[in-house]
Amino acid sequence: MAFFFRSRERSSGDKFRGEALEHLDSLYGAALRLTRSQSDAEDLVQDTLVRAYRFEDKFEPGTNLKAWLLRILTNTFINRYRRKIRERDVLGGASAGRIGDGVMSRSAMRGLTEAVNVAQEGLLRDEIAQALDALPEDYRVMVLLADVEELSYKEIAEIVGCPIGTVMSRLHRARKQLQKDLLRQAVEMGIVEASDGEGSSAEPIDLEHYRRVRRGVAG
Amino acid sequence: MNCDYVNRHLDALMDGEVDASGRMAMDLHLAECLECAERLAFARAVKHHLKRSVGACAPQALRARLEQELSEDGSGVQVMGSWGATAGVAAAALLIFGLGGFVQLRGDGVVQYQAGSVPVVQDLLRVHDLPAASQVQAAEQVPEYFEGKLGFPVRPVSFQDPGVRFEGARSASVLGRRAARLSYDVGGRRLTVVAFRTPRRPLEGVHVEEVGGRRVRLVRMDRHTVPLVEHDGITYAVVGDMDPTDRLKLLDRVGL
Repeated sequence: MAFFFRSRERSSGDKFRGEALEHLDSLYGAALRLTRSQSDAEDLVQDTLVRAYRFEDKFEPGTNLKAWLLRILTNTFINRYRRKIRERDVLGGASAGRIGDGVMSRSAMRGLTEAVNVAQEGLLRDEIAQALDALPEDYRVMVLLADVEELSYKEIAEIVGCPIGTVMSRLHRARKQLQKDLLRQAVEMGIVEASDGEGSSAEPIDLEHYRRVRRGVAG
Repeated sequence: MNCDYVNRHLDALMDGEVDASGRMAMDLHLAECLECAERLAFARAVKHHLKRSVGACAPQALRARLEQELSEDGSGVQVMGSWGATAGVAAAALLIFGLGGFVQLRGDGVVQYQAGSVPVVQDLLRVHDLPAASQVQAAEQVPEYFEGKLGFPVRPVSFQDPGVRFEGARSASVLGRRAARLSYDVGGRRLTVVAFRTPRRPLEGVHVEEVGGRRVRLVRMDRHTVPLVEHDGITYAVVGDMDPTDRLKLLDRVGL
């Protein structure tokens, strides 16, 4: 590969763009999951980077650049691409996987845990991706930011623009729905046996409340 | 701390949003309550495999187009060279820090490195870090204590090395399954043997390596190495504060 050396030092703009591009895979992955279309994902990523470079001075060096970029991407998605997606949904991309309000039995949960934990690559891999794609957008964004990008609740709240409590409850429901969808697929594939059982799926309480009362909890 | 409370904070625990004392309280509950442990293992399994299944790579054409079209001078003149250099260094860094890969370091042995989260190692480390509250005083009491508790017999691991002292035992859980935690003291350093029924299907990350001229079964995560010994359908994982080579030497004479 031929190299062209600049006669001057790399400018800060170059440096910023270089660092931003290091997160390209994350940005593209999130865009793909959100738009569910490769061409839309590429457009969304390009739009995101254009805006990121334009607002470079709004970024505080030393803070999480990936989270900052994902915030721009998520907002761009919500403002520009969401309507397009909704139309497509109406035409027939409806989310599958609703299996009602039933809770998962212990044995089904155990079976699915083991199926998911096997060493061989590929078992249930496509099914997990499908279950994610089938989630409504609000839920999908949460799972993407928390589970794929592993951002903190605080960072997610800032990106999406809602209180941390909302992040927690939305994330909890999103995961429940994804898990149920995954179970349905696993049962259909014959990997896990379905069975009725009792269980509880409690709503998470406010994290601040938990922190305030934790001293009162006996070990 | 009851199950209802733990269940409501399970997500937060898994996401690392619970502070240290809360974590400790929840870990204690999870060591005793199988149902809650199964729930956590399930949620973590799905989260972990979601992350691995869904990560996408940006197409090369997109990357090239963005680098060119969005370059600062905008003239389209070759800045590929400098990007190429960056990419080269970044790729080497990825290799060294083992993001998703293995690397061999030279030195006094072959060391392989696996980064990222490996669920079974995370659980084993959690069990190792549980507080020392012991319900069993002497090694001889171990089989009787666990009788009927776990669904499999537990015998204390006896190390030939006289410097290894049995400290206690308690029940625990690994990947949502019942397990036994046997604690030992080796000259002031902690050693934990975690015994659980060998899963039917092979666990992620478990492999056989040649160490010191022997083939040893083990699993790695970041800087942690955990050797595993299998006997009669039970897996014994040896977790400790000491060098894995030293732990392996202890395993040389192990009576089960």
